[in-house]
Amino acid sequence: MSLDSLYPFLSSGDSATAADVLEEVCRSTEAKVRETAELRALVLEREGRRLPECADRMAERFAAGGRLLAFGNGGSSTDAQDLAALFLGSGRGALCLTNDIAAVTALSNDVGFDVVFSRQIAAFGRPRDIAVGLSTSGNSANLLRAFEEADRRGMLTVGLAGYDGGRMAEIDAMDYLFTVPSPSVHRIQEAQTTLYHALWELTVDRAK
Amino acid sequence: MSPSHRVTVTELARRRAAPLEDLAGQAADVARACQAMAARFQRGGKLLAFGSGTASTDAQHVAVEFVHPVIVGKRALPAISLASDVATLTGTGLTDAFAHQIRHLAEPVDIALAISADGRCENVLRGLKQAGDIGLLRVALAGGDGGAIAASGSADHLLLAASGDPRVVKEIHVTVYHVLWELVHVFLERPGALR
Repeated sequence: MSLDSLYPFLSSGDSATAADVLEEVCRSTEAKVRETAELRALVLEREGRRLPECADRMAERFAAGGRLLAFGNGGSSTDAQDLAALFLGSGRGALCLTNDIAAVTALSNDVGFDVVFSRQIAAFGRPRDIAVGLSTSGNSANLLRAFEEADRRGMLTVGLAGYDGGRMAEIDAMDYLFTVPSPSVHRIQEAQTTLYHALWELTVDRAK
Repeated sequence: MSPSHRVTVTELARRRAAPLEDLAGQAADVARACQAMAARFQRGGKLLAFGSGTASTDAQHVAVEFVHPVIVGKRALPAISLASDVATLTGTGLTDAFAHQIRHLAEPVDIALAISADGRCENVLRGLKQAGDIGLLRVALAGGDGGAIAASGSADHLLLAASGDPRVVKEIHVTVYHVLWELVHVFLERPGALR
């Protein structure tokens, strides 16, 4: 969809009044909300079998004393924080790998940003733990290395990605990959929030 | 589906449908909030986002949206998360942490963006009140009945997610601040609409 068709007043000279722009923005808001509603319904329907299955695997790991390590970049790092805090809040061990700025900047400065999660997984990860990584593109190098390190250690690996999953869809290290088919980074993030909330609720819904 | 689950994915989907429909009905309010925020940015204002618990992650998320736009060609706009300064949060105490930062970091032209799932966070309410004393534009995202934040009338623009489930409220908020970010730029690209 072209910018002109979304916001026709952009190319209509400087004659757009506040009322014109407000009306266009209002219509654009409605369209985006309907798009995110449809996308969220679609991913939940499409993953209706795999979400409970993945939650079962996670619940087994927690029951065996496993912990969850969550990671992501940018907006996805805030989802990783939220996910870890949700599990910790319901009495499961969980840690977000972007929380420790000293570790993040030390690894980035001394070695490189690509190892910022994999090195922490090497330090913390145990075979009964769970790795959850979120990316919109599915191509983040530091996530791919983290999943490979987690898989080597026998951890359960769970990925959330956008589009067709990018490189996260190609690696053998991934046990469960949930993808969101949308061309919009924002709509992908919004549906990913729904997906990880579903995973959390389905996991903690099980007896500990 | 494993029989051990009491909650079904179908139920999770159903819980999200009505609040999203309700949000579509608030499109005009969202548009007015975008217009007011754009006017502040145009005058050199910055955005200060704050929230507790889950909403602290949203404060960080919305700040990075403005500072580092995902859509190529959109200009960076100044935004700060008040939930990110761990030394201040743990040093001043949580109740006054946001009000304290607003007192010392904010200018009258700025925007306060408060996020609270149930509208009952005392520190968020205090932040909004401090923002009001200085003259900031106050935008609040809350859920349910909006709690004390709604009752106090301490926001110029209040957007409520129509759900009592804090997870669903957060999901609505993520959509709202993505839309706020994107559509603020529409007004900035048409300064005639801000006069």
